[in-house]
Amino acid sequence: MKNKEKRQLDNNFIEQQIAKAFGYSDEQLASELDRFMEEAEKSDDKALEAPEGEFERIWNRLEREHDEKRHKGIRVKKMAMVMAVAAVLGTVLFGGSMWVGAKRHYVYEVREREDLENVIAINNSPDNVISDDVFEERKAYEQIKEELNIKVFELSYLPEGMYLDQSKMFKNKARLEFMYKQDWLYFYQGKGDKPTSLSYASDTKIYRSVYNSFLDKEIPIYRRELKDGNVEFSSWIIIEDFYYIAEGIIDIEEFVQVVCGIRPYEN
Amino acid sequence: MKRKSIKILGVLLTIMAVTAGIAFASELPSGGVETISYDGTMVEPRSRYLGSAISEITNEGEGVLGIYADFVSYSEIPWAQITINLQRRKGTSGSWSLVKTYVQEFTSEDDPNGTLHSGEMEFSVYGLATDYYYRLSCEHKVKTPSGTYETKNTLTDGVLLTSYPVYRNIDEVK
Repeated sequence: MKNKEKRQLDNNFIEQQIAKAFGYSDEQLASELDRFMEEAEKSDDKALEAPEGEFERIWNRLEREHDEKRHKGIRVKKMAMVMAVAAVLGTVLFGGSMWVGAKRHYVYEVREREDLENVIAINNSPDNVISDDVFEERKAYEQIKEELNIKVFELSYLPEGMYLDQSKMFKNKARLEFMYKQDWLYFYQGKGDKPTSLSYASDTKIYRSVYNSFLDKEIPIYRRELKDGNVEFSSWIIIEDFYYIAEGIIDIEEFVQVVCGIRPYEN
Repeated sequence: MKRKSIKILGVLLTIMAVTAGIAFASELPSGGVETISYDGTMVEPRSRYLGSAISEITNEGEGVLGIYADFVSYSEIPWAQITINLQRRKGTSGSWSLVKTYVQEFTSEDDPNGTLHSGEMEFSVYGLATDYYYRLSCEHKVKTPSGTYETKNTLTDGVLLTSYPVYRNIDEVK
């Protein structure tokens, strides 16, 4: 903006501020003064005569106030301009970020945690949220469901510290490999819907049976003491043309809970 | 006299050796592990390292056999091997004859995490004569960290290989 235009704008701003401050515009103030002077000339009353130099003093005082108002006006204007620039920049930046945000479509997904009662996780960005072991298990069970088309069973109870290390998919079966105290525990599930013969070698002996309320079934548990003193347990279930095998080196109390926790997987 | 003494000493040593062997055997728990020598290596029945083993043979129909064999170990192992002997027999009687042997070795490099603890072979065999019964006789062998071996054999029943398709369910027929 040119200096001349700037000054003009400043003057206009000053006039407006004066009118606002005194309730008069420049023209109104001049006409009031003229009227007062005329009345004073007509009157003989000495009391109405202004003291010598009074007008100049008033004028000077008005001038000083004008100057003060002008400086204040300029400061207000500068502040207003700064605020306006900030507002524009803020709108651009904030609006821009809103636009960028709008490009990504976040949808919250609610997932019930199975390891904690009455606790859910609400995530809206699967790419940026670290999933935990429970989520990995669900992914594995989902994969079995999709690829094998079998009645998928899940281990609803896992002892503390046990987690899914990896899952392996085959043509007619899946093998889930859990880690527990530096040993692996295996959980097979498969189908035999074509003429097939399966040989399973695990020379464990029948130990006891447990009742699984999810399956309404007595399930045998097999046991074998290993030469290093550890004890392995295994258990297998056959339902129609599906089979399920769990085996590992684990405390009997924990294994019983694992077997009792075998249940149909529900998404 | 000297000869007699030597003979007596020899008999005594023999008796001591025999009784020591009996004592060792009696200390084994029931179902204890016997160690045998096999090709100069120590091979033992499965225990701490060979958890279980599976072999499976499936008639996929139209002359195709599905074959699967695996091993699982409770702990990490440095090496393993599966040997599959495919055998066949004409009719429900008679002897089994070897068709083919498949062998695969496994090392820690085969495992995605670099820790060998399980392994498997899965494949289909085409072009076999149909109307025969086929079965698998497998050896599942793992090497323990101490350098010994644990092994387990599996043997499936015979499955009739058919030239016609085998349907999983009624939907496939349609």
